[in-house]
Amino acid sequence: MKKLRDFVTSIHDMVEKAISRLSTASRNIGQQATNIDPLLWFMFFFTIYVILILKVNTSGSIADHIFFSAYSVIITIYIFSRFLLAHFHKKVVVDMNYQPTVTFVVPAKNEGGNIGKTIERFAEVDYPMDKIEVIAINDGSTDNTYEAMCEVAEKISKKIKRVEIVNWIENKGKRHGMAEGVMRARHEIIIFIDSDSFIEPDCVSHLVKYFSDPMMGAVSGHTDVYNRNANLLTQMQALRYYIAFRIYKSAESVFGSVTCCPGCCSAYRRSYLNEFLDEWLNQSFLGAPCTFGDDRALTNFILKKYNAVYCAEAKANTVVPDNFKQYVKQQQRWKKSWVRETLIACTFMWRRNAVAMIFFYMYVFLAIASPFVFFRALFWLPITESEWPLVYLGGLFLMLMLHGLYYRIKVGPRAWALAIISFWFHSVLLMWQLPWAVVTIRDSRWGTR
Amino acid sequence: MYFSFPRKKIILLAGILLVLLYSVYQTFNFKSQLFGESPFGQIFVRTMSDAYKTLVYTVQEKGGNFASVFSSDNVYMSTPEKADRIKNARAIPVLTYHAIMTSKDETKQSPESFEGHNIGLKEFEDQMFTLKKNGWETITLLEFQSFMREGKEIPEKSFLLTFDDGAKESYYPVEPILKVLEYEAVTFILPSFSQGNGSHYYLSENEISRAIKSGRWEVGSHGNNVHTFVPVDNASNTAPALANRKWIPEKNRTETFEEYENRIREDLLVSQKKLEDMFNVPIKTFAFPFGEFGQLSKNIPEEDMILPTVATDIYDYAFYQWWKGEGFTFNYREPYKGMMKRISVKPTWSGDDLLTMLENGKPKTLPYLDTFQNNQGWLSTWGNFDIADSQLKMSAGETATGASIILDGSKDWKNYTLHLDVDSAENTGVFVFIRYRDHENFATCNIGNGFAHVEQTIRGKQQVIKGNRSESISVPKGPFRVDIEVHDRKVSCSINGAVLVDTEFLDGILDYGGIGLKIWDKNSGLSSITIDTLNITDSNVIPQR
Repeated sequence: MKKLRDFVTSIHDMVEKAISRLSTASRNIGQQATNIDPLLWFMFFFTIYVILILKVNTSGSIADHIFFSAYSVIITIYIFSRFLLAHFHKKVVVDMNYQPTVTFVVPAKNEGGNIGKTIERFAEVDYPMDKIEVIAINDGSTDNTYEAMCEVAEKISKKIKRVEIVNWIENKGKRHGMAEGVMRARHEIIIFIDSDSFIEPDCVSHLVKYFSDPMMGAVSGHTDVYNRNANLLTQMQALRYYIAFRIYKSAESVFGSVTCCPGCCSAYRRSYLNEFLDEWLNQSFLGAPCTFGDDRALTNFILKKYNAVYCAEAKANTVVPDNFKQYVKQQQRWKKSWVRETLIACTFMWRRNAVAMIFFYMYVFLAIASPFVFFRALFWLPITESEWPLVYLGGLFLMLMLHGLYYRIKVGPRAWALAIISFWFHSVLLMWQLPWAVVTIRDSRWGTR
Repeated sequence: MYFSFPRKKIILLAGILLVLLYSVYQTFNFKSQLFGESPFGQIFVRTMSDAYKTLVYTVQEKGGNFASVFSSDNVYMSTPEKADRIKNARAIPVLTYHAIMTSKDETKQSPESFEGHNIGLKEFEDQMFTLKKNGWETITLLEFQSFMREGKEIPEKSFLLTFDDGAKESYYPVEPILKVLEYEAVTFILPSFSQGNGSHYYLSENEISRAIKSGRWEVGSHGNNVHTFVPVDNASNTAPALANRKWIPEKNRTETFEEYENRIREDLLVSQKKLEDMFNVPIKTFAFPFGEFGQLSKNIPEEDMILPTVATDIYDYAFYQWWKGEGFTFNYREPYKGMMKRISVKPTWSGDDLLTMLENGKPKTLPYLDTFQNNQGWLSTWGNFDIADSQLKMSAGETATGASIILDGSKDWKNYTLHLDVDSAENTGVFVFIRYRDHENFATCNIGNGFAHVEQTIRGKQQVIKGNRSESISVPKGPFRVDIEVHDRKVSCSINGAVLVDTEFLDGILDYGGIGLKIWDKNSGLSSITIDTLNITDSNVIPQR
């Protein structure tokens, strides 16, 4: 097994070396040193070209299968539109005259190892220290989390305005921790940070710059994977995170309709949160209390009245699962909360911007249809028509390839090619999760990790 | 709204989009030029499978030799090289195929009228490889023509391989086989379907051009607009368009013979012209759609049949499909002849079945002795026969009055003496065909109880040249011997050494021809005959038993 991995890695290195050599060469041909890599961009657009060829080529059979053809067309439009919209996402500059007071809220359970480092970073940001408040909630940890919190509080309390540590002996859940933080906070903007996320120094000023707009309810930061070099699984997740933020959130952000400002690093306006804090805290779905997907639910409440955007410059790093079992559990949790909150969002999204609305419902359609398309391509057609799912798997691979190339262009040489293969593999492998999430939506076990 | 549209971004993106869309458009343009209407997936699969199959076939074909090169004694039997073969062919078989099915999908695409003609790839591979292994080689149309008309010698075991309709599936699966076996083929194209980009089913112009360019393919015409069934009366009966007078609903009548001739002449000329314009090669061959040249016509009597004349006026050769009862399976050297027959290969035939058919159809050498150990080429033209226990047995079926057979490969026999050891349970008489050319032209020694005739059938019209009637003439029950001597225009028929009838006035048309046998009785289920030995000598002397 290890030998195989070494072999795969060595092949990857070879590919990467060849590409970097070719791209340096191609860069030298054209202009002087720029960060535009002609070879990679060519590959990127070539992939789009191949996808277009595939789509036009299969367009002949549209009349035969309206549903599946519609899926094929819509998913192409949707994905291409993400790249296009993200490309035109407006950059907002930091306004030195607008510096609201901020509160960091960090709920933590059994994070003794990370929590110190997480909190320590709050006192190292490029922001007026007297406008910073930290509220850390120890949610019934059984390890040294509380001690670590106190230790770091001691250290930073002199630098910043205020530190407060809440110590719960019994575990209440992350949602309660977040709500407690909001209730105890005194500052204007609340920044939720996960106990295993680490922010960059300029994160705060970038997050708050959007709040000068009174319609702004929430801002999502950009989160990268801290432990991406651990293994292939985390490398794959690094790619997924990058694309999910840089392309998908960015595209939603164009219309101020980011559907999830994640708990790992997002800012919310406290006064707006207070409007529905109780409702959110006691949220239940189909009679069962909601114990996960807290961030998505919170964003939904904001979106009903206000805007939510994504800020690419506000960077944080978070730790992701490095083994398959944990990863599958996390994904399952996310899928469940996605189903729940998307259904809720369906009830008010039509009131928002028309274009945003169209794309949102498009996405809902795609998500619902995808398991059927998957089943048809991988099981139904091979069995009934002996038709191999080459087009489906090839198309999926090309789409992911597009994402991979974008990632490679933007972040430089990383294990992108392998990550794409792994992403592709996991997409196929974990396709059952969405329908399973629908079936088990009321089951709230796996709620904590 | 959080977007911005800097002019630089927009211009760059618009430029890239334009280039992208233009590339996509051009790609499809280019694809249609090369592959016609085939979807990309199919092209990809075909290209891959071509490469893969070529490799597999090469290993299959050359593999034996590679292995023997490394074997210890380093001695292996080699088949003679193509060029070294003895040029002794006397007749050429022509094989007809339609589409070669690589998957069940292809049957869905093929027009309904083709059903049952297409053959599976496995069977086709088996047939071609079996023929190659047994020394059979393809020839080109030019070789066919120069053999037929210019006296050029070509090796025995040569055949012409043809495909009808110009389906994509009659080209792509075949190509790697031709490549590896070094075979050539002729494809009969429907110009109205293959024009321009063709279709999903039919080859496009450019695909055919490429095929021609490869040197492995030649093109013939399959008619422009006549590969279809048309109404032939007001009762909405339909029949092949080329072999039948069409019903004209506006005029409430079928077309006149003149209108018919004009229509078919026009069609054959147009298809020739179109193909010549498309591919810039002379189109000298034609294949009758559905193999019909009028023999099954619904409204054109045989004496008014003009299609063969029209077709051979316009083309050097017009190919129809051989059928059971029509005559021999091979095309013999007949310089004046334009109508050529083809064996339509059935999907159920194995490679060995086809090989047997061709080996049996090969012209037979004289003298010829048949002790009926196995079937050397006896073909039924009517009813049933059986070769078993070193005997040839013919008997009328329960509801039939008789049966007839011919010996394939005997068509070019000229002078011969034929000795038959016959055993007859019922004295229903004996018919022996001599100088048999085809089902409409042959002579017969017809010996029954009380008479002995030499008869000839010319263009389907039967006539007694000479007949003897006598009480003393009878066909014995039990074993007896039949001797028939054919020499130039002389024929004599004998039973047990006694000449019963002879003549010197055999028609000049029947100056050569093969042999066959027939039994008949007015009562059904009665006639039967058993042959123990057939011996053919080229001497006038009847050998002593």
